[in-house]
Amino acid sequence: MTSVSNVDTRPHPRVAAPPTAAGFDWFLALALVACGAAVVRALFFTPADAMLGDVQKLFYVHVPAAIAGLYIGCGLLAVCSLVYLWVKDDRLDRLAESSAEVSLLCMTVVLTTGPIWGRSSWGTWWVWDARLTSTLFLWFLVLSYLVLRGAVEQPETRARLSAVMGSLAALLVPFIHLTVYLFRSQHPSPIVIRPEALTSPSLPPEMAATFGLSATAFILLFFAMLRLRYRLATATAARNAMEHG
Amino acid sequence: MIVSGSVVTPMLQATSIPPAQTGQEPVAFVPKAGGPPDTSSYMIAGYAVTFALYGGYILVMLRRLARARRAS
Repeated sequence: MTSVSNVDTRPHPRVAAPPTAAGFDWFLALALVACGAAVVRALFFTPADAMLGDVQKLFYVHVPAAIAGLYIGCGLLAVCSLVYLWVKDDRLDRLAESSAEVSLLCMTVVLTTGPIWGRSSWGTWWVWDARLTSTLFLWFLVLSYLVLRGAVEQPETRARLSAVMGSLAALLVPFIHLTVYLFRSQHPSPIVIRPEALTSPSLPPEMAATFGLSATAFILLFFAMLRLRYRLATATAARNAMEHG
Repeated sequence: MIVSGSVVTPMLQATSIPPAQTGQEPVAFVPKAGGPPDTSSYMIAGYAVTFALYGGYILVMLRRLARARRAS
């Protein structure tokens, strides 16, 4: 009987297709127009907060960046990393890398607009509060993920190691969400992502409408940037494949 | 300086300036006599940082993508 144990029966990893010709990115343009409209509505057509003043309008960029960066971006990173470990498809590795980078950008927005808001309303730029500290910790983990990718040259080893790290890093996201319930925190409790938000909204209608528009626009922008980054990753992989035969 | 917890206004309780009040509305907060504090400089700084980060990233990505296309 012939043994086939030495034959690699796994599906061959997908090779990156060569980049196509440059064209106008309608999706990115749509996302930028939506973000522009959301910002104009937030700054000029939404009332200021009675206690905090204009600084409360940072809410319309801070929270969408947190939703996109932490929940969507890190969620994608975890799912792509886990599925990569199973099916070994290079496209998942590239999508995980892209979502990690765009998530890092969104978390940077969160970690800069948050302290600006805090300086105005708390009187200090930073407190070592559980929510803030764990978000900073996740920022460092995602940064480490990207540094790790840059440090390993062998593509399959890089993809496997970073998939393990990416899936573990994203475990911090549910913990970050729960920190305001588990610890005494200066950070406000969730306003939008909470079970009773539909029955008892905590935002006035004008603010809720602006927030809805803003969240939609910045999530669109997240996916537009993710698409851009994924195309770059595909182009880089195709170039590397051509260079190395 | 870190202010005490009671001074911190959570966004959960934030409310907009009502156009007119009869005194009968069940509002949690009313504006101070002088109106809300002028915190517009913080707002402008926050939006400027956001524009710089998102805009800078998109420009860098477009440049890198164009370079990758030229190289192939």
